[in-house]
Amino acid sequence: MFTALVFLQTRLFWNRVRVQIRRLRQPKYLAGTLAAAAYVYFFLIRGFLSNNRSTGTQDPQLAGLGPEWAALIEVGAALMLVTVAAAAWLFPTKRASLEFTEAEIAFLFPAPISRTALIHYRILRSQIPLLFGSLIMTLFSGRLLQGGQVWMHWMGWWLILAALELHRLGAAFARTRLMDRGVTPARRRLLVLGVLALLAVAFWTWARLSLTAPTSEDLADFPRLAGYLEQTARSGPWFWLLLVPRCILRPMLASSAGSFALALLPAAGLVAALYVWVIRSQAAFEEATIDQARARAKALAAARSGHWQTATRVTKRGAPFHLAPLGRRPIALLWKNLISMGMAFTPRFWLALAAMAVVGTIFMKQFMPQSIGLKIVGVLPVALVPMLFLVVPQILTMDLRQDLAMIDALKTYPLPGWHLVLGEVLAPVLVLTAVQCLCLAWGVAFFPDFEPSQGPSPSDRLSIGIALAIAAPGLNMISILIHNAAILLFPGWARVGPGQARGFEAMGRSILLMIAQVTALGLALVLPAGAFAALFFLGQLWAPWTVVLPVGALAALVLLAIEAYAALRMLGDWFERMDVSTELLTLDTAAA
Amino acid sequence: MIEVEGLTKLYGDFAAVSDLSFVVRPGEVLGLVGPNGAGKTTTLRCLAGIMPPAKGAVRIAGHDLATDPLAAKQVLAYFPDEPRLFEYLTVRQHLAFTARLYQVADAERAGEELLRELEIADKADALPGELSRGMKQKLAIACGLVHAPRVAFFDEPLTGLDPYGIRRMKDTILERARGGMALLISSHLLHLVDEICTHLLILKQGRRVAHGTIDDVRRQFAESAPDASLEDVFFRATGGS
Repeated sequence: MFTALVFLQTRLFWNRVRVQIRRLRQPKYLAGTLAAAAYVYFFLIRGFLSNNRSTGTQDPQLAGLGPEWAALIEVGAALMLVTVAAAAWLFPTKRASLEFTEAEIAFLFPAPISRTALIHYRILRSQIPLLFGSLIMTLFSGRLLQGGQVWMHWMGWWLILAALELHRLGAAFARTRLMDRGVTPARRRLLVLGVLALLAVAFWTWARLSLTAPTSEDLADFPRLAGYLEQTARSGPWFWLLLVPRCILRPMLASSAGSFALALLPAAGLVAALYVWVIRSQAAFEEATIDQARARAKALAAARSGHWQTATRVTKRGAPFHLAPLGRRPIALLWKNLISMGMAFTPRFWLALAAMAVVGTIFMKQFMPQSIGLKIVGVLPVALVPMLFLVVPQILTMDLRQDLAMIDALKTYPLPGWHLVLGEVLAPVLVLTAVQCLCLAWGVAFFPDFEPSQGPSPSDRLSIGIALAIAAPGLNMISILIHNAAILLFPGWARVGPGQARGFEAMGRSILLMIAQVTALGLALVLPAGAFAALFFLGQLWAPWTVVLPVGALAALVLLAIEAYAALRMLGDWFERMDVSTELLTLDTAAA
Repeated sequence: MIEVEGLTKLYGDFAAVSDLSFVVRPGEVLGLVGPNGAGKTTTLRCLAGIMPPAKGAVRIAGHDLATDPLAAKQVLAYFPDEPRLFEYLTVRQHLAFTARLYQVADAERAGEELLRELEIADKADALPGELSRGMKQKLAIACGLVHAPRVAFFDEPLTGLDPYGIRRMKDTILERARGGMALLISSHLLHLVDEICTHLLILKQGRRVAHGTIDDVRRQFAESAPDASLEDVFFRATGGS
């Protein structure tokens, strides 16, 4: 019976590999794969190999940093493992379920296969992603950690991930058995919190009685502080708490075949013990597994049919304003997309946030005028403005990137293509600009002085703030339009909801798209930036810079608006000429 | 009125629809039938302006879809087999959004009437995720009808509906036809076509194999058996058994 399961798993794996290789005949997949391969080689493998070549079999240490970092990392990683393990007992509320597809459930659950065999199959199946995940982790950690051999890192990572996976399964079974015995999730949480509280008391008592505070010598430099922390983690209850996770981490950190073999024994023993625990503590998982598979299939089907938001929980959201039945049509799309963004972007929310921030800052200015916190809250929003410009257009996708999966519905709307594109991009542009203006207003009001030098005067701040606020909508419009152009030009390449393509070539395509977008943005900014610079420098011959700066920004905005209009007309034309018969196929393929 | 002349749609070298011509006058209901892959959905998508035909002309209520697409789209409604709804808009918000797109002056009254007629008035504040398949279908119908189109295209309108929903859908279609709307319905359900359609167009491999009133087509393919069912007619016309 088990051979049938092994056959199923191996065939699934090889067929998937064959399909992916066959896809390379299409230029878009080939280009994506080549780009991804280049990225992995130049950014991961080359650095990894050079690290290993240069250091041979030295003790593991962080590239460019001392060995004390490695010891600290071991302690930090062990603490992280403890936290993950504790979370598995504290947070989940559902019964144990294993990841099976609907097809696997249909074939395997009614078949004469024991529950133990199904668990074995599930554990076996998880090894492929675990091995792949270990390889990726090896490449990443290999760039940082010098010393040891590739195969040791890989196997070490596999042991860590396998232990975590087995613990997750075992904990899920144990929780289910507790539920079957009448221990509700709330009671279990209380119990776990009680144990954690006891541990905290034990640690506190130990620290008070036995722990020596760091001396000024310990605090003199980082290596000594690291040494002190490492020594602390090896004593008292810390030693016992971190013993097991350190056991699991040791093979990954081994520097020679000998030390690896020594570390392997306890780690492998631990994984074996976890395996026995999982098999022995098995509980009924079938019902929850079927529910989970059904929900997953439903979300996938929704994503493939364009209703990708059903893949995530959608809650009712208030309309940002009353939409009159008559008026400019693109406003309907703006209204729709603002609703899609949710309550976080209603004017009321932002006004409340601004009021709270202003009151808080005035309070701090009044009562804590010298506090560093006041300086931070004065600078942070201003520093956020460029970051928002770079990052938010990629996150705020309530535009064509969200709606293109419904292209057949969009195509029936009685409005010109460029009106449709304009309506689609208005919401992210508006919200991003509003947030940036809020940050700028904040900067104008509260930007601090940094002694000994004086900060910008209020009139300087006002001029800079007005100039940036003038340019912001144009810059944001261009940036969002570039992201939408990408999806209109390459619908199969760009992200369309969570059903987007995954895998190696998809990563490569994302890299190529990102390069193209950054290049397009740079080109689009050449003229406006040139006009701004010319006006700014020449204008100072006649007027102070505080006056010239907003004028220069206005000139840049005019040019950005002209560019945006031209881009809208072009994108609208593309949209109208888009043949759904090929694009829907592309979107389906991308989602598959 | 729907006027189609020489409609051809190519996917690469493959002709999904070839040289198709027909007319649907106000008050007529044309049933579009054919085996899988006959080109029914492609035809509907071309007529709704979703995809451009390779050749041929389409006029919707006198507006040429190629040269005056906005005027044509303003008077048509397209209902795909799977309702296309925005998951974050409630039923009422869907109607408000559609009304603005189509500039419906009395949108509120028209919307309320449609919700009542389609028996989803009590779900006005629900999200699509809270609706059953049939109710989603009704919402899509309400959105399509809120601007009182003169032409409507239905692709498998009864999919996923319960018997009550089927009855309601048939009534809605027939009421619109009586009101002078020109309707084109693509379906595999021949009893539905027999029941509500005045005309029939049978496609096979993208080509027209029969067109006319239901009685004309029946006479054409089952002359010796005047009581032959539409199913018999369909099989004879498409060469099946």
